[in-house]
Amino acid sequence: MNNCWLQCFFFFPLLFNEIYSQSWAKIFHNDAEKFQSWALPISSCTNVLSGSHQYPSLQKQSVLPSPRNPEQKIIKRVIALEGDIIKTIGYKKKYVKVPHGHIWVEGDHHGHSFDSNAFGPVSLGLLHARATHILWPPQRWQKLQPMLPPERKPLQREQE
Amino acid sequence: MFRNVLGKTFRFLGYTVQYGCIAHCAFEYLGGIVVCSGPSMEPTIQNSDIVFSENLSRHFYCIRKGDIVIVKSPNDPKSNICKRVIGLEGDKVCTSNPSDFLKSHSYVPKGHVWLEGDNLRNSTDSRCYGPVPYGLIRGRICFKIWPLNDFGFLRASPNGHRFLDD
Repeated sequence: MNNCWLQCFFFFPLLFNEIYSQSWAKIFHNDAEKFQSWALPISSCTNVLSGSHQYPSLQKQSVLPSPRNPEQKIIKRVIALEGDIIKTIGYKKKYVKVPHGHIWVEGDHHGHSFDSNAFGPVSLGLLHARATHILWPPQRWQKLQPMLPPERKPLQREQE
Repeated sequence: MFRNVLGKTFRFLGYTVQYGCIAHCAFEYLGGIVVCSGPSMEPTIQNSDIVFSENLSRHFYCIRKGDIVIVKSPNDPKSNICKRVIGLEGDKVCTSNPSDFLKSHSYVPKGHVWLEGDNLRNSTDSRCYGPVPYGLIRGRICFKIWPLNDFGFLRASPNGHRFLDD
């Protein structure tokens, strides 16, 4: 009886550690202050455990492996979902319709962000977690608000 | 009597959670058994073949040219596809079909792989949707379990001419 609970506690940290080590990696927030913050996705623990089948919603910050470098995770805001047509900033095409099964992500600090304006729409399968709170440093404790900048609204949203 | 039932229930729940964790970690980090469907990997893998896939290679970035991998579909995140790696990042690949008269080539971008099915005539792969990000790779197929007359390690690609050497 004691043995099985010991084994259980051994494997739970293995699960939690996955979230820890991948999200406590330095995440560069491309915001106006431009300093490094540590973000821990808390509610996205359920995302990871249940197999991440929740459809990402607009405006939330998402953690995903970089399409250029799979060893690195990047954190960006979801700007457009599949089927939306948006106007890009510095991408090779001025207007892009997000293909099926993809999303368009952008950092909050336009122009200084390595995001979809550099590598194009991102496949949904790459989405790893959703960032909900900033835990460290303590003076930056906050809940990350889902917010879409009005100038970045899609030109056309696909009707269901 | 009631405390006995309660104790048994909690113990059962405990075992379920414990083995659920072990199973999840095993499937996520070690590997598992996969049933393949579709004609795109014939003759290497037929429809309804059962294979064993391991996930260690993708975590240690050891996927090589010629490996058969299981990848999350770029267009549909809920489904998996099974293809062979023809080119890694930086490799030169032939983007045209074998039946095309004019051959076109391109280089696989950084962080991506080029996938093709062994059944070139009946396979939607990178020739259709372009290079696939490495992060979508779920595991590498190493062993075929069923059917028993084909039991063992998987054969090399029948399309050796698709692998372009630098």
